[in-house]
Amino acid sequence: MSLTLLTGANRLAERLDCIKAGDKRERETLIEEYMPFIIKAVSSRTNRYIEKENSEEFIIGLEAFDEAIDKYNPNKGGFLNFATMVINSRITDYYRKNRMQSNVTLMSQLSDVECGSLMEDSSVNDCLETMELQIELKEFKKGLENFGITFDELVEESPKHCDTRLRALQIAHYICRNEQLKEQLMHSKRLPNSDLIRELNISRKLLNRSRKFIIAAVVILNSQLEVIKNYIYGMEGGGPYDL
Amino acid sequence: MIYKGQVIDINKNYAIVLTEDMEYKRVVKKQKMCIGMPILFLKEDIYVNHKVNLKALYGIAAVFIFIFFSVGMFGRLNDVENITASIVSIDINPSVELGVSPKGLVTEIKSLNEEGSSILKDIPMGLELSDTVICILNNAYTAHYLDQEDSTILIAFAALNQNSSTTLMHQQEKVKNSINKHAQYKNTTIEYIFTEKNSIESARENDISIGRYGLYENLRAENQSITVTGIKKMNISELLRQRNGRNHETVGNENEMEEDWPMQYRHGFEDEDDAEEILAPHDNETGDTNNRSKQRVRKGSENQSIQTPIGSEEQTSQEFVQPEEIVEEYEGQSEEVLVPEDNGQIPIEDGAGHEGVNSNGEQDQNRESDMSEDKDNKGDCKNPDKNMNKK
Repeated sequence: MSLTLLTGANRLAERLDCIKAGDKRERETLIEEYMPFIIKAVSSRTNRYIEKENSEEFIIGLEAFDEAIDKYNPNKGGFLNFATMVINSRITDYYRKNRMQSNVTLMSQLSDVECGSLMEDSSVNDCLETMELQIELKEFKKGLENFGITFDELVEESPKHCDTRLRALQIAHYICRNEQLKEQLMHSKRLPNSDLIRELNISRKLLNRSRKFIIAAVVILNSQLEVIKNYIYGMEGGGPYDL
Repeated sequence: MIYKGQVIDINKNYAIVLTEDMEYKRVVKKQKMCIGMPILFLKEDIYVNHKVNLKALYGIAAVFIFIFFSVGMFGRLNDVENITASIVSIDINPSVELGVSPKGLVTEIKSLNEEGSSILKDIPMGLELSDTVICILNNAYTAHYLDQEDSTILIAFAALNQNSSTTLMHQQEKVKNSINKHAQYKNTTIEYIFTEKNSIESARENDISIGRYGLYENLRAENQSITVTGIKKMNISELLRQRNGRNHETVGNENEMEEDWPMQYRHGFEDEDDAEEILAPHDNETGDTNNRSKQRVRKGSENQSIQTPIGSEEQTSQEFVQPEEIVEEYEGQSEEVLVPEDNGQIPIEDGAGHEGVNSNGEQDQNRESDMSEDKDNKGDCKNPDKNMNKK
């Protein structure tokens, strides 16, 4: 174990030497490999989740990691400890800088032009989108409650295997496309098992085990939850998948 | 691994995220989380439910209880107070041996022969010695080992250390008292002996009970030709008969005989009745012990001799069914057996007896008067009120 760690440390040191020598590809590869480390370091420092890949804290973290690669001195300890220290320092600097610049301005104090430009600001748009999304997610929750399903049950009973999830999503798509089956589901609050088994030639076991997941997917596909719909489409490979 | 997802619900301790792979996951709640927020999270951020599973809890509790009781039982069995401090053997024909703790609880039960194992069924350990002895005797009685008139039980006590020899006397008293409470053992001869610690090892080496070995040692003191093999083959009653016969011949009185035995054994005769029962030579002709059942048989024959109306003793023995057999079989009902109700006469087939009746008119009259008296008595017995009026 210690031998492995030693070998890994030596290898990292060698890679860092290569990067310092000017190997840009190796630098990108190393940063990509250590992305979870950067996310963890940033998240631990901020005690928040990183919202997006392009969030400011995350970018600062990436920059700090890059800086750590350049400034690392192998004689002064391990690289990862040094990188964590650099990331924490840069984020602290960022917060300090933001705090000094934070001035609360009332909307009434702004001119019309400033208000217009503010409305076009991406952060404001994001905020509005988030509010809309919250409303839609609450509707999604209510829709599931109509079927007697909760989010906790979905966590527990959703298929763990990726292929099974994909198959269940295909069934959900089939139901959405077939008005009769969809109507039957909405009316009886139960999956039309016999019809699905007959028409799709699938096992009853799959239907029973993925019942709640399939119903949740049908509810999502019938809603305006575009972000989550994109997840489904993304998983299926870009668009509704034909069985 | 980096997960990307959208927060769809927030609870008290965790948030539920729908990932890009359409997985519903619980993540640890952090600052500034809101529903609809897209997040990047790692495997380390996935919430682990620390809710106690009741079934698992019950299982663990059951295991702990089991371990607790097992250790408790183990500890109890290995408790110093429950170490075997003395050995008690019971010889009927079946022979069993009991280990007894200093507190008088039975810690060990084993049979010394095949019959012994049959009477040890359903005998629990940990009871008091007296209770265990009664259980064993009851089993022996049920198995018809003790329902004969001349049944003999030999109960031997041996202390493994000097401290327990004093308590052994107390235990012997308790055993004796509890046996006396049971009516079915009234006619049974019960012999209590105390042996030395050395006898235990010797008895084990010779594969006999300590009681038998104790008797063997007693007999061997007088008769060197006696062997353990011979002792093994003999009944307990025979052994006792031999020993008591030897005592009768060699020892003049009880005190001298007691001096011949181990100290503990001498202490065993605190009760005078016991000493008489075990030590006193009784029947001059046979050298039998003072067997209560034998006494009863003798009484029965006396009764019959009174009732025998005709002929000489020899004639009577020829004409009638053997009185001892009758008495043994119908103990306490000898009158009814000997004097049938229909005619008040004893069935006599032999002419000699009949002649005797005819030849002696007085005897005949006496007999008739006896018979009438018997009838009256019988009637009186059936009608106690009438008897009272007569008086």
